[in-house]
Amino acid sequence: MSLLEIEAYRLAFDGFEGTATVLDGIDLRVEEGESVGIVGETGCGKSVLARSLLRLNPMPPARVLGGAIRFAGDDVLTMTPPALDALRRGGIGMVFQDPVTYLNPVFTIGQQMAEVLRAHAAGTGRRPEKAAIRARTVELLRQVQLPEPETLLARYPHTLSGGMRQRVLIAMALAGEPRLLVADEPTTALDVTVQSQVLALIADLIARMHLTLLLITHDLGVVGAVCRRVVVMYAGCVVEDAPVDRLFDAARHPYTQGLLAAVPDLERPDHRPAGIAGSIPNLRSPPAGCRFHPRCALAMPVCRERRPALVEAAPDHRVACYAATP
Amino acid sequence: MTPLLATQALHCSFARPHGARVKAVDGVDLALAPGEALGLVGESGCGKSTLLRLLLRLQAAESGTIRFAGVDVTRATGRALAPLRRGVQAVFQNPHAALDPRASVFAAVAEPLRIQARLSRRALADRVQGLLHEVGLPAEFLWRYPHELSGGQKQRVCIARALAPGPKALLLDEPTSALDVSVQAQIIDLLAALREREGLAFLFVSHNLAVVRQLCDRVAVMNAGKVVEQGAADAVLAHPQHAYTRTLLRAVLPPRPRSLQGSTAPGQEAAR
Repeated sequence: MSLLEIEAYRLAFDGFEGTATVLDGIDLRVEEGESVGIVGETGCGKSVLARSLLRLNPMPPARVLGGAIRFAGDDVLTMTPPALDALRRGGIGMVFQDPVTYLNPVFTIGQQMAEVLRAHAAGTGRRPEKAAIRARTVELLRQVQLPEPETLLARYPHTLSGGMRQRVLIAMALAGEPRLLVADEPTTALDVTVQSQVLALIADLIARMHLTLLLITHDLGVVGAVCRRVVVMYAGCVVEDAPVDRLFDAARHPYTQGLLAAVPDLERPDHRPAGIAGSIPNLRSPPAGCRFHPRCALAMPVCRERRPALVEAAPDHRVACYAATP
Repeated sequence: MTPLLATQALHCSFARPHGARVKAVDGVDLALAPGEALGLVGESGCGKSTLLRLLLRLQAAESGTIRFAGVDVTRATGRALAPLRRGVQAVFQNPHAALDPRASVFAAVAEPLRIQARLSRRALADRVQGLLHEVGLPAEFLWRYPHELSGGQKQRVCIARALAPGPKALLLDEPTSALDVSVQAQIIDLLAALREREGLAFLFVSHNLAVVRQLCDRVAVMNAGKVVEQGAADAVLAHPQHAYTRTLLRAVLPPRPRSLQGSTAPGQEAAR
């Protein structure tokens, strides 16, 4: 049994101008101990998918159209509220993109960490002592390599740099000792030098604590730095799923190839990045068949009619494309 | 040759609580030659955006001089400022915030023309359409509003608006960092083509060193309000001399994992 299993999951958002099918048949498995990256551009549904794992999408306007999400064998979509609480507490830890908006500016770091720890303890029926909470907070802050955790407890978020705030949020996500860490664009708001430090921390934590990682990003460089496997999403669908090395060396889907060709490389200044013509489809009226076909140079008649399934193109390498698979 | 835009010993600082001051721009000497593309790189808070605001005269300099085509414009006002306003235009980072949501594409691009040039209604419409064509937008976009455009399309409108007064230089503040990579490549292509066609000079602020290397002839590296290193883009980015430039380069994640290329370049240990 995989730690996380997503099967034919479909999610729509209802709006005044119609219904947008934002996730359209997502198939994804994450094994215990794996580090998987989900890559895609604006609007491809990667963040909505991440939030679906904890049922954080507000319903309405969101609506599940079908499929299943199982975490450690339990069906997330039909969970009772107490079971869902337990999942959010100790099953899956989540780190969001913007460390500024996820910390309360009027409480100290110590107060906010304590709140998380008390909530975790309350869920298991314990009432921890103040000293125990303090000790655990310091331990967590030390785990994310923040200097002088004791003095940090009394500080307010605005006195911390972006990188430090993101470390605090990672510490909070680890507070419930989750089995799966979901990080949604954890370094997008950070400077490059800070980004590489935070990524090194994440890589170190998953190795040391035997965590499973699901990293959501638009940046292929970030995936290359910490993930073993990459899932590429386009317009609400998984289009390719491959080990990192294979994806960079032998991407099969035309969209993945386009993404790789669009990234400028500092070490190859003569490589001219090429954009992908056209723009992402309106998900309220997506193109029939393969959602990428209007922008695809290899599009064939069948691409306009039937949606390609995600099939094995090589061992461990799945692609949803008629042109890429025999 | 007289530089198009030059600063000399430029200073600007901001007040902090308890009487302290932060030196955002601390003695910067920089020159932008006509038609040249100069990249300005550095981390958040290093002063790049303040420098840009000083050059645009959106922020007053404390000391030092700014010259446009040889003329001191550091404290110019009114008519004396007009050549700078026409000659130097800006494109900002976030195209979603840079357009008035209630103004159509036509209104946005026409506004600088109404201010800078007296054109007949007919000539104005022709010119706006010409500008849209130049940035690769079809005429049907004229009457659309920002919310009907994608990020890349909005940035194209911002570029058309900047081109409207017929500038000699564009100051570009992270023009692609809010865009997807596939769109970024299109905007970079557009900028390179415009530069070639119009002989524009660019001051290109970015933290993406790969993009800078793609687009710029020369690079200046800023740290804590000072330019710590400048030179030809290939030289600075391939053989950095200053320690800070090296730190910055080490932090760049390669678009594909380095081990695959068999390179032992540093940067790996920081990221893994």
